[in-house]
Amino acid sequence: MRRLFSLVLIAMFFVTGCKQDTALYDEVMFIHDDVMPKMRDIHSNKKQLQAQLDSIQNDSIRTIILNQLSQLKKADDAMMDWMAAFSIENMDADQQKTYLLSQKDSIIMVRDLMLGSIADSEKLLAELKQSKTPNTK
Amino acid sequence: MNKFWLFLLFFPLLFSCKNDPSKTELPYLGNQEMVDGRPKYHSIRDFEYMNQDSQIVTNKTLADGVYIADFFFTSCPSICPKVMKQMLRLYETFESTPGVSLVSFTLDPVRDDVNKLALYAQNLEVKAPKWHFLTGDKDFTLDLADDFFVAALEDPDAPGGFDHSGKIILVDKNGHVRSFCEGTEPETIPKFIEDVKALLAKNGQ
Repeated sequence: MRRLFSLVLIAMFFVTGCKQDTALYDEVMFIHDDVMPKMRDIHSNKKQLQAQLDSIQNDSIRTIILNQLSQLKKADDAMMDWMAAFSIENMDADQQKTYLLSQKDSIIMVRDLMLGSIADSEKLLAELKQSKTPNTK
Repeated sequence: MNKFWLFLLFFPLLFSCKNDPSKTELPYLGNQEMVDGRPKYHSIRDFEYMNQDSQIVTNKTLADGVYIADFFFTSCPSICPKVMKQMLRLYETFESTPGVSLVSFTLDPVRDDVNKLALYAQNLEVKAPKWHFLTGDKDFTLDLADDFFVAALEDPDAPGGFDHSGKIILVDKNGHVRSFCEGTEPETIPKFIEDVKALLAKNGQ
């Protein structure tokens, strides 16, 4: 029971903290929750690109793949960093509002970075697949 | 009047049958194939992680009983706290029950090192070996998560991933997935608790 009480206390910090700006808080969290499942796509595309890298000798293509892997990692890190830094504890209503507005911009940037790197990596994977397809003409 | 007495006689019998865990056979979730005429069930791959007490935890460590697993990370702002509340509920339910342990795999090993996990467990006032908080290679953990979740998904090809981390999975002594619930939906927990008891009644198999 004490454990549950501790958890409730932690949750209350969170809830009371965002009481003044629930709508703005929800808006930020909605953007986050909406894009979070895409972290799986980053992982999946990283794995596929890594597999391609292991089978390709051409240096210029390897460089393109390595750059794309780096972009995916950057996007993954950006989301993890954002979550780790996000906190509205010990802020008054005005501070929260300012903070949440800036966090909304930040999470939109993270979202765009994620979606951009996923789209680019999918395009590259399709091109790599295409280049390996035997010419049937 | 006779019908009334007949009803009274049979009612407790029906009730006791319904709630007798030893009578419930949990299904084996996930794909299965026939090998040499015998079913081969989907199972969790071998793993090795470090827990909050810097102890190595593997499948073999957990094979003495059944275990309840989830995926989380300490800085997760939305889903994880809700799931963790239900994991805590399960911990308290089975705290004194031998043969049941809980396992939470972090998806953020960079931040969730042993010290961070030890502090997290300490704040929740929970201890290993009843509840292991495990840290290890992130890519391996994401692949491992598939072993747990593929069995729990009706459509394994459905998009998603981190959203599936809201699921809480029950694994038997032989590493097969036998039940799951939604950690974000508290009303699914009582049935899950009954499933854990049913599996225990079958010696965890």
